[in-house]
Amino acid sequence: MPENEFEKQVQQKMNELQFVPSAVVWSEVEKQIAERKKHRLIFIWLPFLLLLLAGSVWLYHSGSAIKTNKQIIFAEKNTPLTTENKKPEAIESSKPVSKTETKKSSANLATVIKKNTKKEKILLSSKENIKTSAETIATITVHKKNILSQSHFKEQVAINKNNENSYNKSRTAINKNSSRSNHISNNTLALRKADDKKTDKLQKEFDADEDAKIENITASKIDNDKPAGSVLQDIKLADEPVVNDSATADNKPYIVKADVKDSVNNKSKPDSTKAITKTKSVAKKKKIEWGINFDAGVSKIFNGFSGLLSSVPSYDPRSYTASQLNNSPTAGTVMYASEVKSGFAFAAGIFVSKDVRQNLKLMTGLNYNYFSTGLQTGSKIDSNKSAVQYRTGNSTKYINQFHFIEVPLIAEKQFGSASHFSVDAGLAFSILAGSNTLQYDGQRNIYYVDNSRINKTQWSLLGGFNYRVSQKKLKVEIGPQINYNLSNIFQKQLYGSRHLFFAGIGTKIFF
Amino acid sequence: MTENNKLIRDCLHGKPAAQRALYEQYAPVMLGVCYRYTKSMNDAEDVLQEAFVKVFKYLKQYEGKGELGAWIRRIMVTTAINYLKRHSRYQSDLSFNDVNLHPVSSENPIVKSDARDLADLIRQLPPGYQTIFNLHAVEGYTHVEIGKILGINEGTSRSQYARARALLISWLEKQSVTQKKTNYAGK
Repeated sequence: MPENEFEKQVQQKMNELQFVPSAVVWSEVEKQIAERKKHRLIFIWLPFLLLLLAGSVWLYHSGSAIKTNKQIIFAEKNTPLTTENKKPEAIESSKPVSKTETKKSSANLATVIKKNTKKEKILLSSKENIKTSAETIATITVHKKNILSQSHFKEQVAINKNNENSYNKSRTAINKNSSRSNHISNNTLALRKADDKKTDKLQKEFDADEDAKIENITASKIDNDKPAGSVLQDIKLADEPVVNDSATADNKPYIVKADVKDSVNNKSKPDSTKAITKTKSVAKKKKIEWGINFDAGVSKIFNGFSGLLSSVPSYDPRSYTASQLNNSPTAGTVMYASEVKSGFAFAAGIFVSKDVRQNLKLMTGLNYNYFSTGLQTGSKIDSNKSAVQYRTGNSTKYINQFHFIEVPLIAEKQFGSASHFSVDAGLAFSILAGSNTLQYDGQRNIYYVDNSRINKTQWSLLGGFNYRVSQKKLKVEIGPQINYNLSNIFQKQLYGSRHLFFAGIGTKIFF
Repeated sequence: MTENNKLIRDCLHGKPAAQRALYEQYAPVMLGVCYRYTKSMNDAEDVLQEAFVKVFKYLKQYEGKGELGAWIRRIMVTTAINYLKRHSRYQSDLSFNDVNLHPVSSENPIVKSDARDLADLIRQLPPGYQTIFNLHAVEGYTHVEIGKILGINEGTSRSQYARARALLISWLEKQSVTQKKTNYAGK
């Protein structure tokens, strides 16, 4: 007998050794595989969810920024600005600062007043509000000064000359009534009594060419750190044309300070100009909104569009002959399997929307979808505690539940700018988060749970109509919605073509 | 091979039916492997379950070189050894002392027992002997490899194996004699 013959015999015998493992082993293996899959899905979706969350936060904040910018522009457009109605953000974002320049301005101010030169105008503000006033004036001035050409400038100089007396009177009045300067808009008048015709003409030009105005804006330099009462701005009339603020109603003088060299001689935009131009461009951004949505309705499973009105059986009709089937639940002779009936469904989630064109917006978000269908079953089988099993029959109404996490992409078209109606359509991708759906076992004539038969990922078509109801701050859209799952809800080889369908009323609340 | 490739591909795509089919194809043989390394069927099934989860987890690492069955078998063996190391009821007997080399018996008796009886005899060996015997005699690992797997000296492995072999042969002979007596008495 050759060496190691014993080992060879043992090896041979041991390779023949086989046992049939108990059913629990596979169910545990299956469970652990499914858990791993779930964890993997979480890891796959986690970055996406974080991205979505971060995007939402960013959109929310950028939405606030747009509002702020709108306020600035609103203020720029002839709105009487006071310290009361001007928000801190607006003040901050509009402050063009050059300390050196302002110190110079402040130092020159006394001289300016004393000399009462033809080239300088002064705005006096109250001590309490001088800082805000200066900034406000600068903002207003920025819009005005570039509407004047060189020819206008000469005319303006003439106007200014004519108004020296008026100016002096006004200045005196302001000194006496400094408390009145709290309201900047009312205080900001530069030599209004000048040539009204000229002013009107200039104003018309100003109004006519707003785009040019934006392009050529030059921000004034104002010292925000200066103590109250020290900020008075000088304007070198030789260099810069000045226009009255059309919004000013009183004869209170205001000082319009700007460096005309910037706007007239230097055609390129200075930095401060860019800042303001940027503000304008931000305001022109498409509108981004976010909100929550809630849909409620009915869901059912059917064999494509053709079988929309009929119920599907809970078994695969291709697998059984007519003689095997019995439509009576009490017959108990061959087999009985319930029809799958419709059930309650709802969806809830968050969304963000962005205007991509006039009357057209794109929306995406994250939804939780609950769909259900109904089955008539018999009593629960208690013998197998690890698995849920039901007998056939009609004593129990069992609810098959499907829980999905959905990411939709929807386009919403509004029927005209003033219309309250809109239509939406889109595509959604969803993942099955859980289900208790019963499957029918024709051999044992029982129902049992087996989620491996369900397709875990689904693509669906969405569509609906919306009616918009707008309150002051809240915008709500409500209307009928449908959701048709393009993917088969069960594995096609098991039941053929079966799709989930939802119809109901949807609500979107925009914040 | 082609069928196996399709099965593997489907398993990698996470198709439950394919996973079930793979399990059903290999589970009986693999339970036999697990049975040899453990002392009870429950433990064997625990090892089988743990190992099959690993099979599906690492299936993408199977490169198609060699038989899938052999690859799964290696996972079973590794899992079984880890299981033995992890559980206290095996741990005490798994400590291997360096002992003097024991000459391997040159006896090569004919094994008349059937697979189940032989496996039961192997399982009666002390866990240390049992493991080394299984690894060397059945799986075909060398003593150097066994030393690395179990973290022991090659010599220790040889010695333990020699003792296990001798013990098993003596049991087989006893069994054979008993069987002969039974047969004689029966006549």
